Amino acid sequence: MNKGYFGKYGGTFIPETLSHACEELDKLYAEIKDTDEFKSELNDIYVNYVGRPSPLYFAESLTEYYGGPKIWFKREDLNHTGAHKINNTVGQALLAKKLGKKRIIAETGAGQHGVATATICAKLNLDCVIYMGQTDIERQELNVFKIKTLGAEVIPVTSGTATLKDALNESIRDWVTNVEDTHYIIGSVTGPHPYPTIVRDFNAISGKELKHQALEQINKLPDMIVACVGGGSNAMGVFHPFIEDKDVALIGVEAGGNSSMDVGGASINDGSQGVLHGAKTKILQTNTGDILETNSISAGLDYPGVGPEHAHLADIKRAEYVKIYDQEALDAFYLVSRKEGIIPALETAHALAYLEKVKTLSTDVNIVVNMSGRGDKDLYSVMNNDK
Amino acid sequence: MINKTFKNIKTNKATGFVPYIVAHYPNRDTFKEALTLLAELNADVIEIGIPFTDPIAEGKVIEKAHHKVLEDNFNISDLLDDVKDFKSKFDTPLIAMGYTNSFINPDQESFCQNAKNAGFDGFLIVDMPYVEHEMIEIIKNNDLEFVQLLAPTSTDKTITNCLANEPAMVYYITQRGVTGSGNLDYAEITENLMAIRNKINVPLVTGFGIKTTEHVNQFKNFTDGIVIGSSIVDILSKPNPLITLENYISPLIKEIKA
Ligand SMILES: Cc1ncc(COP(=O)(O)O)c(C=O)c1O
Repeated sequence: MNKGYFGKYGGTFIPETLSHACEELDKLYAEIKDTDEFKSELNDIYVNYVGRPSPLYFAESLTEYYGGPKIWFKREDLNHTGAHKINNTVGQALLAKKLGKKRIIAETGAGQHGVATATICAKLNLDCVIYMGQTDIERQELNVFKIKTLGAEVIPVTSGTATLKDALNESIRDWVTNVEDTHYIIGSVTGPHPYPTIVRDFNAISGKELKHQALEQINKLPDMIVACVGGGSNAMGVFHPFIEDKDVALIGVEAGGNSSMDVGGASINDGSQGVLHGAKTKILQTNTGDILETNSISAGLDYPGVGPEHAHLADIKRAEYVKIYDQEALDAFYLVSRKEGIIPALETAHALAYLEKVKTLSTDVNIVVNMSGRGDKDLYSVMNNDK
Repeated sequence: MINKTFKNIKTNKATGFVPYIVAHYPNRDTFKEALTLLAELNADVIEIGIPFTDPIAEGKVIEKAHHKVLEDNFNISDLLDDVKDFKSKFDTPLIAMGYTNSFINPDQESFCQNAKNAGFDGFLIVDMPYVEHEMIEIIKNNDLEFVQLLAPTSTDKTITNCLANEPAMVYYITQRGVTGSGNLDYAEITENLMAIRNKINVPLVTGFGIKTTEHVNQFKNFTDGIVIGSSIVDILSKPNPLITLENYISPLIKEIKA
């Protein structure tokens, strides 16, 4: 089988100009990932800069409110910059340094990956350019200002749907042009090999911590792990260390958009096999293979593809993927804010909304929701939506 | 063995002229007229871009053309009818150029059959890597030629591996960049073209950013064909596209074939 496949999904579908850069990255990563030097360098950043480990928090009021299963949050929202995205960017920035690349580019949707990339580039003295769709720039104003404050440049993308997918297109075009001195930090478990693997491995820190924490705090593994899925990096990060633990149910929550009449962002639920942005995976497309315009209240889930490993986990039924609509996510956003004093990101609110569907499970059941990010960035959108 | 389809481009002493246009751009009628005009001007091979929502290797001009055609509800079976019609009058080889996701619906086998039946001679799929041997086999088994891209960043190992797939033609990308960019490094390009030519006996064409007679002059002795894309597509978006195209392209062809 070719490199970088998860079952029938994955691969390296990129212009030949980039094949050498992907090979180089793959080789370097294989060489250094298990070395003590790299591990301790990364660990130092995780502990002292990102603020890891993130707590496993028992959501007592929410549990009481539902009166069913015990609900826990894996608190990735407490990471530096407010989301899981930094787990990946710090790892990739170290790789970029080792590749001798001085310039970093990244795409961003919600702006969290842009902020997390600009942050580590500031710290490591790397030039940083962030591509962001014009639509997302408007709905994530605060993050745009954060990225600029951190010294990075934000380039608006107006072509196509002017969202995450087009920001990815523009990033690839920049990378093709500047491949000799530029590393592309892809923000999810998407893209050509080796990205889905590298991004998963860096995000798996949350799943590994969760395993230890669950054994200590719950005295067993959780019965269910729930995470939202845009490209799928926060979900793959918590799922991956549990894949062999067959008794742990893994639930990925996709964005359904406004209603069932809408094209949301649910590539696994509503999509079919195709090739987008470097990988063969499930995508939302027309019957001639053109990519559909997606819709979601959360910019980070507003993407017509999904990481190839998720497509595989869905096929082999190791994980289950469900859909949550905008209004359900908004309801969960307010509920969790008011019950727990934690304002979740709108992406995360999709995972939280799933609790409504399992609230009748027994009180012996322990459910962990991956709290992928905090909601500060979304307050403006929610405020406008409420008007 | 030199492949029949591209025989002219390899055996003719003169360098070949390989224009690129986007299917149904700026509209279906003008596209058909442009196709005819290019054949009458003795294009050696014509590349037809299959429009895609996310053409990651294209610069602004060609990306815009792809999006315009899709907005106008591009229909692939109309294109296949146009190709059939063209092939009833001309035998100029036609290559469909585009992105993997446009070449696998309803499935790869049917797409290949439909394209072959219409009269396409080969495919150039920008984001399909040489390691996808099964997909390449499906193309060849449908009696379609397969064109391999090579770039300035291609390593010797990649070049060897690509050639093991026995492409019918090799397309050398002049630069690190998207279509239409202007970063031509003449010395690097000619050096790479000479190195690649030493390794292959199929036609080697060169493209990306070639627009003027000066560009043509720089490379024509090192390549079997010159691809001209963005500047043609740009002209087709202007008023009186066909006359403007003929005026632009005639001196270039003269230079290429000189
Ligand atoms: C807080 C948060 N959660 C989830 C996501 C979705 O990305 P992924 O599915 O890769 O975790 C994003 C993306 O921007 C995000 O900001």
